[in-house]
Amino acid sequence: MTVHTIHASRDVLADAKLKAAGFREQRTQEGTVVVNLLSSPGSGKTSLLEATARYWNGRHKIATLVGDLATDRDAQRLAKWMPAVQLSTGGACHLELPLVERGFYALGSGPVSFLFIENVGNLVCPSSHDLGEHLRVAVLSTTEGDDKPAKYPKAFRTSQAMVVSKIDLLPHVPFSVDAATTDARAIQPEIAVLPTSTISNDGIATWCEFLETQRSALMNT
Amino acid sequence: MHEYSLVRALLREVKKLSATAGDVIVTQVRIQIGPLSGVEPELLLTAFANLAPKSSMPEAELFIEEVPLMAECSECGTECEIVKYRFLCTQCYATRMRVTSGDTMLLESIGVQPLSSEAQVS
Repeated sequence: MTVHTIHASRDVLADAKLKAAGFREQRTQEGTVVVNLLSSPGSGKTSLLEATARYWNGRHKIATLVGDLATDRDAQRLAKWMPAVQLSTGGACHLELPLVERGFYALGSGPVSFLFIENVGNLVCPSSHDLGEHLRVAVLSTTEGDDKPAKYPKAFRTSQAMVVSKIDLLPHVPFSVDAATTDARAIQPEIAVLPTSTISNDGIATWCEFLETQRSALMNT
Repeated sequence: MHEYSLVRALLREVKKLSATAGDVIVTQVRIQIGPLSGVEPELLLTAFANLAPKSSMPEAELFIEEVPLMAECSECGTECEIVKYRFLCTQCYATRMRVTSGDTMLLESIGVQPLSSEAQVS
């Protein structure tokens, strides 16, 4: 029985990446920067978004789509600060564009300056899926250990920034910001490193200014 | 574990590709993955074994080729293998490098048989 070979050499996610590029372009036209936050569970993504809203205090229109396996607790927390829609994945370990698009249209907030996507807490699967973001930010908390960039290379290779969260705990935990930075920059030499604490507010202004600078650069190209 | 969603995307691509050949059955699916593809071969095989029959491809077998992570230097253009995720050009030691392979899941080819020959054998 003859087997015929049909060659393709095609990225399995090529269609998904094309759709993500379209979503990104539409948001660019509206003046919206989409920021995809990746991290382990409990790194403080929601707290970082609360601190961001608190710092800007209405200076920028922002909204959030927040992914979790279950509950809408994060969306409820964030709703005090900004339009927020919970994306419940029903057990799936990462977000994909169709769910993000549904959430975006459910927001009904009109154009915003920043649309944050708080991905499902997981440093593995979300790193393979383009959600149409302009910026991917890996959040690494000091309680997780500074070896995470080396252990989860794809999440850090595909990110433009690494937020080191919970730096108020640095005196109490064996975490070296320098060691995490060295490992992250071996994988992604251009990654911006932003140490923050939502308790002391250290680094929050720098993080917010980083976002503003990125937005200016993106909107002027 | 996102291998199931990746296999669903793979099977959609396989269906589109096999449709170009007319009435055929797919017997082989060949993919390439690398260190930054973000997939686990064993999990892919399990997901494929579960999902292929549900996509009318019960005969299909998945062959996984693992390729090294390769990147091209943005400074001198040298393409080199990236070992242990250290992005460093082996020629000029620059760190700005563009990944050229090993970070995607690539559908390389499929093997198909005409439906008629299958009928003759069975």
